[in-house]
Amino acid sequence: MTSPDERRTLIAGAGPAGLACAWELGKLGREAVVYEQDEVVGGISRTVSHDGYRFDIGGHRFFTKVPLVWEMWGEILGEEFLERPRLSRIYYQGKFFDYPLKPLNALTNLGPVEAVRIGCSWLWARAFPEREERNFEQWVINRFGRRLYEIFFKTYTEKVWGTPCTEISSDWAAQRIKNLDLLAALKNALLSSGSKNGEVISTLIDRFHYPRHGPGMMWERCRDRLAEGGIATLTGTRVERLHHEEGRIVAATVRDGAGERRVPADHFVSSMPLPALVRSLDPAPPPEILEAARRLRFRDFLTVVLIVDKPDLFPDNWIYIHSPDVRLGRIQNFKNWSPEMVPDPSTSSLGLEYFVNEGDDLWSAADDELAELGAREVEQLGLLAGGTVLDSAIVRMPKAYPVYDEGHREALPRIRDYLLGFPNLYCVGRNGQHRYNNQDHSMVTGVYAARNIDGGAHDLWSVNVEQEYHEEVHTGEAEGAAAAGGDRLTPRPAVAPSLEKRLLAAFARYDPVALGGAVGAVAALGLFLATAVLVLRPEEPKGPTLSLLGNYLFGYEVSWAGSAVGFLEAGLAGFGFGYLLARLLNAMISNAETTLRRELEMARILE
Amino acid sequence: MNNERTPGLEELQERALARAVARLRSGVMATVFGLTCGTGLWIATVWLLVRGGERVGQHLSLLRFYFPGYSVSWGGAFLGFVYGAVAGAVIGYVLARVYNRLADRRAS
Repeated sequence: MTSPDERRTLIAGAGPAGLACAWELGKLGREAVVYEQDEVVGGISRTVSHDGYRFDIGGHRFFTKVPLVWEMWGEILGEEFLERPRLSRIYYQGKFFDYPLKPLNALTNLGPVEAVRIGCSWLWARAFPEREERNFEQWVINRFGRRLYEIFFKTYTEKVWGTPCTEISSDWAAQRIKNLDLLAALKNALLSSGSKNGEVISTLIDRFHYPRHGPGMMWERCRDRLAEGGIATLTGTRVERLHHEEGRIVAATVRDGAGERRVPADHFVSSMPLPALVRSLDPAPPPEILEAARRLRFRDFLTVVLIVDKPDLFPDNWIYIHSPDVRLGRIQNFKNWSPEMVPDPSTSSLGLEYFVNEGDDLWSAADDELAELGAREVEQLGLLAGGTVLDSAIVRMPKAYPVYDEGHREALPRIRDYLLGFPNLYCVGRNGQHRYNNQDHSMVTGVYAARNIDGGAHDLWSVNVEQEYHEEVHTGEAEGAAAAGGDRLTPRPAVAPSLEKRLLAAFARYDPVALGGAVGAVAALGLFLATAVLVLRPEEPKGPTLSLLGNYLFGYEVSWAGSAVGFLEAGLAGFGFGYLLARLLNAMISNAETTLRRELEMARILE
Repeated sequence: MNNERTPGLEELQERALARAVARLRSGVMATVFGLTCGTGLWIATVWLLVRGGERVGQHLSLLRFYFPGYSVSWGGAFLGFVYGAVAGAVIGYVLARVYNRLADRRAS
């Protein structure tokens, strides 16, 4: 067998993407070596230990819709995989809101006045959506209304990303926020088992899988199994430079405790942060590529771990802290992820998560100060339940989240196109593609890279480009994906325009909100004018017949005040009428379409 | 080994159909609403005249406040047809324009 450095397929990074790539290469019977600059494997999916207490950096649920990922997890960990109940809530203004948001719970907590404000704001957003969904704020408001956005999205998102929501790209929202608008969420809350065309919608993932000793257990086990198969993972080894000639990567210079050495390469798989990869290229890329790499930003992450002398603090796995009066962003209760994360059952360990920028005041603060801040804030939120903090630990994780800002939107395609010029360079993983993948998508990029090395032709950059992310499982869709081996990860071709035009003409549906708005506007204006004409006339009493509408429109009369009341109420009634009319029309169109389909089906059979 | 799946034409057709939103043609809506309202008012007026009675069209004649010169009479029936047609056409036209504008905004 060759020595590790002679394997010719080099993998930078022993996170989920790099190790999944190595795993797949092993299954394909190919040799490889993995270089990891840290002393532990797993990347951000590692498990950190402190006096027997185990911590997860960020909380990693093992959930996927990609069958090959699920199979790999099973192969690696087998029975060490626990199935755990999920409870996560949002803490805001002293109250707990279910997460994912459940409308009835949210509205109960917020009260009737706020509920009306939210409803009006949502109606407004539905009727007059932002034309352009360029930033996060526009994306969320179009789906949830401004009021809900301000309560549930703005403060937390700005806490996490450290930038105003107007400067965060809408891509991130589409990828990370559940694809539920308020109406869909209400339907889901009111109809406990929604079913449409045989498709059962299970929007809330209330259980998940988790390794007994935290996520790092998966990757430590993976490393060990790889080593048994001859694929070494060299920790404490950093890729310093990547040498290329005539459009191909030919070698890497790596550094470990013994110094630097040059390793020849036929293939190079990189889960290094994209800016670091670009900077490591030798010869250096053109200045515009280096400049683009400088524009990619990351958000860093800091966990203050508190060990508390109470066995049960709260039932959640994690809690999002939306309250703007603390800097704390999220709290993990590690014991609720797996009981074996805590060695002493009479204690609990909390992970207080702060979203920071490397070098800022929190990042640079002394560990003691951070522990004190954490204890103070968790006490202020009332989540310590009278317990005492026994011990603490601080974990700093640089480059935890790629930032989707305006700079990223322009810079990333430029860098990607440049790197695609190297046919034997494969960018994988969250930081390797500067894409906010969860670990399953990161793993898929690694697996596809391995298959490409083996002669496949997968487009790694198309993994997880689907706009909406996947926490809602539409069972029918999942089955389809399973049958196709994870089809949702593939790009879609465009539809022929002539076909679309014909379909539009044939069976287009009416937009209920638009028809409601139009009928409402006409009704409101009509009643206003009808009332105003009578008010301006000299006869007394004014409009006794039209005033009879007061029997149906509360507070209406033929007066200037009544015309305003009539305007509002006729507008609402008109909206309802138009909305229902469109729904009815659509049902009839749908019926006609179904009938036609059946006739066509029958005609085919008869033929 | 290739696990990728590209949707077929039929699937794409389904998606396009699901996205398709009808538009209203304002000219057609104005014509239809105009004819319907004009004819409706004509019939309503004539019906009352044919039925007869002591106080013919006591309530319908209140439309004179909005349609100057209108009355429940044979002459008023024809004038009402014109007024109804014009008012209906305006309503149909405005309805279509507002609907299309809202639908366009939502689609974009």
